Amino acid sequence: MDQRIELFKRELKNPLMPASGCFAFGQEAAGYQDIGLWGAIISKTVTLEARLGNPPPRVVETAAGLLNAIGLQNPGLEFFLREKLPFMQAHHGAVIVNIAGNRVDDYVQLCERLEGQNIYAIELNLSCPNVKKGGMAMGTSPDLIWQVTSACKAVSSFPLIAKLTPNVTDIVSCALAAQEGGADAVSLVNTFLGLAIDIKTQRPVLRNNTGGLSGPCIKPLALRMVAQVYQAIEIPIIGLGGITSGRDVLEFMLAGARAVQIGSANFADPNLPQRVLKELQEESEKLQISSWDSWIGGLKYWKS
Amino acid sequence: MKQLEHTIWLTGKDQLSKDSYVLKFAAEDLAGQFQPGQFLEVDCGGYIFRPFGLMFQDRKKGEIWLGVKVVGPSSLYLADLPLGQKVKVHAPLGRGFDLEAFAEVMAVGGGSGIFPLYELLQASRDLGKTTRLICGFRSEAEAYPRELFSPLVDEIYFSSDQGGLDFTGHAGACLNQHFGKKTFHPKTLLAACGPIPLLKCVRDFAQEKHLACQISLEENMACGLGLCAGCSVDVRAENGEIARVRCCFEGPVFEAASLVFPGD
Repeated sequence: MDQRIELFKRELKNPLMPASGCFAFGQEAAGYQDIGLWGAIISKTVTLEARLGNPPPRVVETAAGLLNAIGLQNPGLEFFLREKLPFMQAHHGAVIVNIAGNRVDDYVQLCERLEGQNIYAIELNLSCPNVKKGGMAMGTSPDLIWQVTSACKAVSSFPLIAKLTPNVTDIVSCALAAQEGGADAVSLVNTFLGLAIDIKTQRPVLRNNTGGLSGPCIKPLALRMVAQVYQAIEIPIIGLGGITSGRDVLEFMLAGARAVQIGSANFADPNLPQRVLKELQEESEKLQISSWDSWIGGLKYWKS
Repeated sequence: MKQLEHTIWLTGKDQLSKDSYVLKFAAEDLAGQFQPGQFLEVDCGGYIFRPFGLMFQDRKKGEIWLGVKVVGPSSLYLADLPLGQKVKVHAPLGRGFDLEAFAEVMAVGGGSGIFPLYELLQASRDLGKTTRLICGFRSEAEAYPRELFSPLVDEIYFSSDQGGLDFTGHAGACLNQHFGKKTFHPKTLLAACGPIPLLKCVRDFAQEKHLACQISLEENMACGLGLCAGCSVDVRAENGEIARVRCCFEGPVFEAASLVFPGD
């Protein structure tokens, strides 16, 4: 099957993207895989100023998952533009820059500073659970989601993707707020807020106490949210949460995702894009999928 | 592009103490590829792989060794593997020890931190360098067999926090006791791996003696590939500011003088 997919009026060679924060800025992965295989590549979150992130321990494995509290460690926008973005641009034609700030104006400034760059889209991180300000604090209020997206839309000529947090009671109203604010897509979902405990020390394992949970353990939760939001919004959904295989990709697309992101599964498989693309090809042929458009959102609900 | 994915086969297992093992693997395409101090991410049956320092590589036999101390489900999974079992690994990873400029190596390790020093001492020995080792354990029951290490070194001391070995106290204190008055060859490398108090002790000793010191750090890791920044540690950059770098990518071996430990 033809893997190409149109997104933001541009054709991507396939619907796979590495999730922000699980791919650094592409240089490390380029040492052991062909990063050109991805449909688009996404930077780690960039903030206006450099950030050290949270103290260690920052990661711990859980059952079928990974709990992390990195805390948006990044070298800041200046350094990113000078030292990181050129490499990404040189190795891929579709670069998505993920940004975050403490307040609405930070997001606006970041968008302004990215104007004129050769990038494909901007992803607004409204969903990091591991920072005190910004991130998830922005993404749990539909009003703030609207404020950030509409303010960024006013200054940016790039397609805007609002990356939403699942740590809300009503994901649909959050996605609607992003759409209302002018977002061109939503990515669903970031990590689930979780806690791991060490009974020997009687302390949380992570120094930040809580962290964001990713991996196969969250896949059914993420699928449910993608399917739910698909019923309610017009703009495309980029699905993520626990994808490790070609079959998982097909599930997310059937639930309504137009593209997908793969995060922590990259840690267990340096050749992930190659493998998942092969699986996707084999599975889609087995299922005789004629085109992506015939498959996306085609979930056949049981009717009572 | 580097080929990181390899499959190795468990060919032997030696119990070293009540909770520690040496696992020997057939790894023809990997043996000989490691710098001492580099590590592997090993499939321990969970979602993500777990980091283990290379203990030893035998290029001729196509064999590598991993030292495993059972501390949780991942290490238990490895220790329980049946002989002949295939295991997926990502390797070689990280930056190891830089031996080139040195004539003598003084290694100090605590507990499972001794394992990566084994290959360091073997490589140093192969290059004709003088080698010394201090191994620190919590108790005599946790100590590894001395004859495992003695062929690699010119001088060796075993210390135990609870007594019963050459020295009572941690390996850093043992270093001060036995080598505090020694005049070292100016081209001596102090190398250490183990708990933070031991590492601080070795770093301070090196500073006092004006000796080079490289330290291998252990930190929780997720990817081991430089992707996630999960294993960041603090170092002091040249401009004096604190920088957070990846233990898996910029390390796990660092110049001791650049490290900023908790409580420094």
